[in-house]
Amino acid sequence: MQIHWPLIVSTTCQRVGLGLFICAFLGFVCVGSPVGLSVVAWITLVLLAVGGVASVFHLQRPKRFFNAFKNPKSHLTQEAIVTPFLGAALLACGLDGVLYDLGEASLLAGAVAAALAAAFLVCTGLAYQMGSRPAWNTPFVLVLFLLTALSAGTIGVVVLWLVSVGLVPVVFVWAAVASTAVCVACQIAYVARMRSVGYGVNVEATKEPYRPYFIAWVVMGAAVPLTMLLSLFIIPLAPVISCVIAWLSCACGIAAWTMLFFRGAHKVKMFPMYPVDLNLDM
Amino acid sequence: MSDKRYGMVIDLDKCTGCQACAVACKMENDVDLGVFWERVYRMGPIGEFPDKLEMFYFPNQCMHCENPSCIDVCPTKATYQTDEGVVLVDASLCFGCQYCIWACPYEARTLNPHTKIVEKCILCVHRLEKGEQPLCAYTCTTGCRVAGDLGDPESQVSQVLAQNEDRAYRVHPEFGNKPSVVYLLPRKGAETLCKSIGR
Amino acid sequence: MGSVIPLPDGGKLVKTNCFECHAKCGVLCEVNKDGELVSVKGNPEDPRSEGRLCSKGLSAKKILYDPERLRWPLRRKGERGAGDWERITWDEALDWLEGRIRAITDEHGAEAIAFGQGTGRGTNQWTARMGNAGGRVHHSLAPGNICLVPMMVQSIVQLGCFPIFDGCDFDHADCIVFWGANSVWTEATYSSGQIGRSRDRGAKLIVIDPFFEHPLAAKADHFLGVRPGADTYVAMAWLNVIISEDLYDHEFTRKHTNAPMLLIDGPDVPLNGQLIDPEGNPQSMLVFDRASGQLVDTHVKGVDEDMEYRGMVTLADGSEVPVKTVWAALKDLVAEWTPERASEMSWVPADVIRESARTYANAPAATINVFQGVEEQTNCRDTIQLILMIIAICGNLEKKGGNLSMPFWNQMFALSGPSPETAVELRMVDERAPGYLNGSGNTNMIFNAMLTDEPYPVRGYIMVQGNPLSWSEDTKFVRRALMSLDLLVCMDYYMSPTCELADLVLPSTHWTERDYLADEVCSEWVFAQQKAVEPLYERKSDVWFFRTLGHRLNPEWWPWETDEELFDWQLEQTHAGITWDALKEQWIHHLPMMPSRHFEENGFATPSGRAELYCVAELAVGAGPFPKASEPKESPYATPEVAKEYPLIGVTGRRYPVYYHSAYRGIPHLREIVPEPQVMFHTSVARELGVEYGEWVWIESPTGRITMKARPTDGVDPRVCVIPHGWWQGCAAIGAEAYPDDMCNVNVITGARTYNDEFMTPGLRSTLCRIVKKEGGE
Repeated sequence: MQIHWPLIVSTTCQRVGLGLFICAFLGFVCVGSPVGLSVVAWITLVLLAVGGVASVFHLQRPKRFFNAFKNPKSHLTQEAIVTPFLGAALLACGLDGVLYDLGEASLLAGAVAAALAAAFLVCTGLAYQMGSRPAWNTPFVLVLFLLTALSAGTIGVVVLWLVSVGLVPVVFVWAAVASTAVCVACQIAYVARMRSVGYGVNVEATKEPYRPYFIAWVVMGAAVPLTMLLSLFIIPLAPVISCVIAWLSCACGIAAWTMLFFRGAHKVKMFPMYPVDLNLDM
Repeated sequence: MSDKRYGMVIDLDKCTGCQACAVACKMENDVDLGVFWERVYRMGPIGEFPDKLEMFYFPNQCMHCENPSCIDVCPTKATYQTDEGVVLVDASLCFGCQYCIWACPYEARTLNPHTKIVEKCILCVHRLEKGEQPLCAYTCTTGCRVAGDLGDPESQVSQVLAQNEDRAYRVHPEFGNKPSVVYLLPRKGAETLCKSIGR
Repeated sequence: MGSVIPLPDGGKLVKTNCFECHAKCGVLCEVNKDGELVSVKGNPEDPRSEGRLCSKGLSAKKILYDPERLRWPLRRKGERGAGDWERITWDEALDWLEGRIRAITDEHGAEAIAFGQGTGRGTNQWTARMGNAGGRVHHSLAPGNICLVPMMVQSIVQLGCFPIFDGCDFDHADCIVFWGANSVWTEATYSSGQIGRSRDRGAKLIVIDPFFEHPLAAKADHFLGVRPGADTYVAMAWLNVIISEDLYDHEFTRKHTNAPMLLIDGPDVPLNGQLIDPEGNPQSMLVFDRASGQLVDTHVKGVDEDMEYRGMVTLADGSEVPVKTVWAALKDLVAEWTPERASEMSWVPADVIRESARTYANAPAATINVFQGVEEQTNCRDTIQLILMIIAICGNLEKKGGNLSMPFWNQMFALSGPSPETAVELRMVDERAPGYLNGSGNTNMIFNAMLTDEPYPVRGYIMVQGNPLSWSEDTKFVRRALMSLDLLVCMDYYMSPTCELADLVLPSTHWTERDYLADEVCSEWVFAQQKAVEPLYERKSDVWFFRTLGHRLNPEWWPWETDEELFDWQLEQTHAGITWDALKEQWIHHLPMMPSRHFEENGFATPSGRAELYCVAELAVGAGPFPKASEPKESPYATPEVAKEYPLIGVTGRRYPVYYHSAYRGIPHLREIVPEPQVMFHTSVARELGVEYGEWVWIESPTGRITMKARPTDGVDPRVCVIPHGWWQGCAAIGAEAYPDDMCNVNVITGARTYNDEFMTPGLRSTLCRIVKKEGGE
């Protein structure tokens, strides 16, 4: 399948933004936060907006955008329905302490926004689980949409701490390392699975034409973030720079991963029992 | 729900790949350049010349599935199924997200680069409703296609299907789409296919 | 109900016939109230096509309104071929043309003008009449030698009818053979639907073709992947099997073929009536009647012919000569061609030859469809004669489910008018191709005469639907010849490469905008091929052009004031039993059939009155009366020194179902289906050459080289390649390229190297060539 660039941009922004909010909220609940949730909400809103604009660019008839709400059975409609509520919840969080003070209700608003963010990610993940494309015909797709968001989110939380107070509770670093490691492990499993999805559309990710995306993902999605995070323990010289690099690299890694995800998602062959495909030669 | 269940039987043993159906479809439905609602593919020739070879033609169009993959993924409800089981796209609703194209296992849908709307075979419902065959079937130089009401055991299409049940083949039955376009396997030239599905 | 049906919205439905190929399917043209063609669909009332219609016919609307079509007469202004034209009226065009013809014929004689066509599809007789009316020679500068003439003439001299084209009774056959023929793509009307039905009933299918991509090859019960041009060996082996295994139709062979006819052993000439009795008839050939013990004429009925007779006969001069039957001679002829022996030469496995021969011969009724795979060979006469012998001895001639005569082929000749007496002396033939059975000259020699004035000047060439730069072998040579002319006139749909060189280009009406008679390849019927819309711009029909020009030049031969008068005369001459007006009203009319349909009473229209295995007419004109197991004149066996340099046998001219020869590459929705010229050769050859799918490669022969895109395939012998023809036109609407300067024109590599003796056919289907990988930048 060809790469649909608007969808690379939109799903990457959504995962980085929503992952950040969810993780920041969980951190806030468990340990506390160096910055208010409102700041996180704004960052997420910006990323969500960029993603939203990008996804409109994917539509061939963007003026008909509002038709997206018509089919509740469609995960895309579900995603579309979640979006305004998610936006409103994030906005409520973002304005908390600026225009008004929700006090005790802040936690509730955050929880609602985090839950909607998770729901949004689930809808996106489910939308890509398709029987017609063996590479996508697996719960891995949903799991990976969530895990990539989690990885980016946990690293983002580390960035928030270091940028705002110069220190970060070690547990958050370990959480980032762990979630990234789990995500990478899952991605490796997904790539391994692509080699034997059958229907004549097995994909060797290390070979052309997938190789550039594969390498980009390995470097940016796995090697760089993990190295940078672990470097915080070994040579804590410029921890802010290290973890910002880890975060940006993780975002790029998600994009690269998604390119591989699209590129490797071939439609089932009509007659996979043959070593060659149908042809149109006359 | 009507009892009518429109579908088509295509005999791959007869098809000679002449592309009359593909052109008939273009003419009848004024399909744009670059878009095919129907066209004839070919498998092979593959094997060893001269006597260990396989080749068959495969006319491909929307299968008008009973359980289509395209309908649920469509966020706009542009894709819908008629009471007679024909899957159609409402051009006034589609916004070109293309998820239906991705979800269809049968390569039946195309994004029209001019109108930016997803298009596909409409089984010439306008002709079926008048009791006429879709133009691809009407014009087929080999007579390999017959369309009609699969719900009526007396209809021509049901009769052809019943007479050839041993060769009837619905592509990728494992997806559970239940295609209403049923192929009749070639009597020769598709040994690998037949073997793999236990025929 | 008439043939024009009014529609409620003010439009109409016109019953007429498609003209996009020879088959002429019945169609219904829907025309709106403004007189515009809305759609074309098959007409179920046509008993042949039953409503089926191919991609070309369905596209009629797009072809009619294609903006690239010619609209007005154009006369050359600048240098020949420079593309500088002036628009003129028809009157100006005809005045000018008449003047030029008169000037040239005054100076050089009428033989200095050649008339021609591409695929006539119903103008054969008018082109010929135009040529004959000149009173000196009709050059017939048309591709007859590669299309139709070998099959038709050989059939008519051998059987008195032509039963292997539209006379194949696919609908009732128990075995169907495609021998070098792909009618399901080229004339689907009378084949595809019928074959499907018959196979459903259990009819067997045999495909004899070098290319497994023949659309029926994979479906066939027997596929014989014959070496191009080696069909003679397969046919010999079929006869060997059929005779040695006693599978032939004894009754038919004995009573209705000349198998029992007596030959003088040695010279193998017929024993005739005058040889045994000075008062006897020299035209009378004899059989031995077992009942009476007498020699009796082959025409006599109720005779107990002895097929195996051998003995001594006392001639009128008292000498004794040994005689034997044609059957005995035939058995000797085929004895050495066992399937094993034939297999060595034809590359078809012996058991496949044997089994296929049995399948054919054992079928209660079997039909063989022959076409250009056999015809465009330098040994075409032998193959066609052998195939007709097979049909005859298996009793499949004039049999339901076999091969049937169709009247058109015998009756079209009446329309051409008699050939001038000078035609024989002015005919251009040479030792490469004596052309015993082809009435006209060798096209290559006529082109040569344009260039060299040898053997005499040919200064003008007037054609309809003709594009010799596409159809003739050796394109570069033809181009030089055309460039040297004083007068070149082309009537066409499009500005073809040949039109580009012309002095006068005339716009031809599409079939939807002209009246015609559809008779050729219409089997038992004649149709009023009436116009659906009024002609657009200033287009005229080819028949109108010939009639009008003919009337100016020779009103004695072209007396008709209107096309309708001409159609009436045509129907009268062909004994159709109907007038144009009546035909137009009913659209379709069933023709009286040939006498040989009842051969028990009428026999066959040959010298022996029988279907001839020994072809008496061929003996008379100097060709051999028996066929030989001949090799193509250029082949790995015949010319090993050429094959050393050019190891592949190129089959040129394979068809596409969406195009007709070089026509319609410019129709966007057709070009989408077949966008590029691809040369097909075996995957192992591609591997050896390091050539990938879609790569441009050179195709080279001793005559020239062209380029096409490589398409490796498993479906062909590694020693064979398949090269399509007709690629010149671009299609701007979808950004598809044109191919100028004959870069993809396959006839650049076919040559004037070898010809068939009887029909002057070049070996287009077995041209030695090679594939060469292009180096960087080429």
